[in-house]
Amino acid sequence: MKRKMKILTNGIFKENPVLILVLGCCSTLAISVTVLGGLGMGLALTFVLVGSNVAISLLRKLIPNEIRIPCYVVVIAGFVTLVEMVLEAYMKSIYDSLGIFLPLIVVNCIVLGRAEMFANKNTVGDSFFDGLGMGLGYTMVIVGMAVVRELIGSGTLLGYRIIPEGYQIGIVTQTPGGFFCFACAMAMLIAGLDKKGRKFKPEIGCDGCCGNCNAECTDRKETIGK
Amino acid sequence: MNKEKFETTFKPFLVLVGICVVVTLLLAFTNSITAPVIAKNKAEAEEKTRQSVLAGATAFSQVSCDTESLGVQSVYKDDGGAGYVITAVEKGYKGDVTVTVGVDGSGKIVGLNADVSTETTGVGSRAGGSAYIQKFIGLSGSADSVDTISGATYSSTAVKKGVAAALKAFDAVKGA
Repeated sequence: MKRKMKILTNGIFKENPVLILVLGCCSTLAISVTVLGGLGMGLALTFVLVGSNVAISLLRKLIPNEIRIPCYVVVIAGFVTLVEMVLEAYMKSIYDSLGIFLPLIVVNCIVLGRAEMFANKNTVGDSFFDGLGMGLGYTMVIVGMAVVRELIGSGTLLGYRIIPEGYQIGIVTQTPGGFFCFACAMAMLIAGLDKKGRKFKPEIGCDGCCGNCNAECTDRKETIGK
Repeated sequence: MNKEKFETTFKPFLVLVGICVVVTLLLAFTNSITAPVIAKNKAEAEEKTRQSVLAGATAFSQVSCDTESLGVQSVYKDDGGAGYVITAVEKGYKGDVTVTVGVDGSGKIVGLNADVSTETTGVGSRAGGSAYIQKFIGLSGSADSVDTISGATYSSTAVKKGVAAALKAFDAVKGA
């Protein structure tokens, strides 16, 4: 159980997909304008991540190495389409606010990245917690950024006006403001992870690699050898 | 067929086809549940738009006419006699702009709704804003007197064309 907790918190802090692995930034920057949209996107991505991680982990012995990427894409696209249909039917407002970014979860690097880095070589249980942790890590970042951007940029929170009209800083809702918030969030997380007197260094070895290098790596010998 | 040939040639093929079939079946099942709900939501939203552009309407019934040659999507008539609601779809800058026009019995525009959700926020979306919409209210016969918005020409032209098509359709169906 301790190991599972470690996998879960890994996704939230030490290997946060957005701030440490720097994956899925496109949707993070675009959606973190409103808190509700961010929350919807985060939960949709978490669902897809958990689902695809579990499915791919279940199928990991069956899927031949040569065609693993197409298989992952089919599984991920299936989950995304499922979420899309359910959201359109039952949560139309969230569906509308996510727009094009909902179908684009299919090509979100976090989902494919976790399938390739984690789910295809770990057990179903571990993959479930990895997906959950990564999804929650993403949701936390996107909602956190959205709170700051919506409050300062639009003067509202969840649609309720907090700062009177005319005092908001519009640029925060634009793309440059998104980058500012992104950089600040990244700096804050890394500062928080620094141990006394020792700088935090992300431990991303060959696990975090896309697999196109020819480096000798014990983890990946089975693919590189072929 | 030896084992190695099966492993390298046929197994990948079978696995991928298998995964695709399973995923497709699951999605078809989900679609069969969600499709009616989505259609119902859409019909309700359309009904709400019709109510909003023709105040005082009681119940709508669809007017059967040759919508294709009139260039509109649908024509509804208020059973209470408040007028007609005509919906037209025109090409905007990036996608379709749906224009819903409420016309009273004398042919005057009493309400207008333009769905500009496909247009650029803050630029093309101005064509759906109340400032632009208000210019059409009270017109009858043609929409030529309203100018397009500079900087949002495509989007505002779509709205204008939609209104023009709706007014033309009204002429064709009035009294029907």
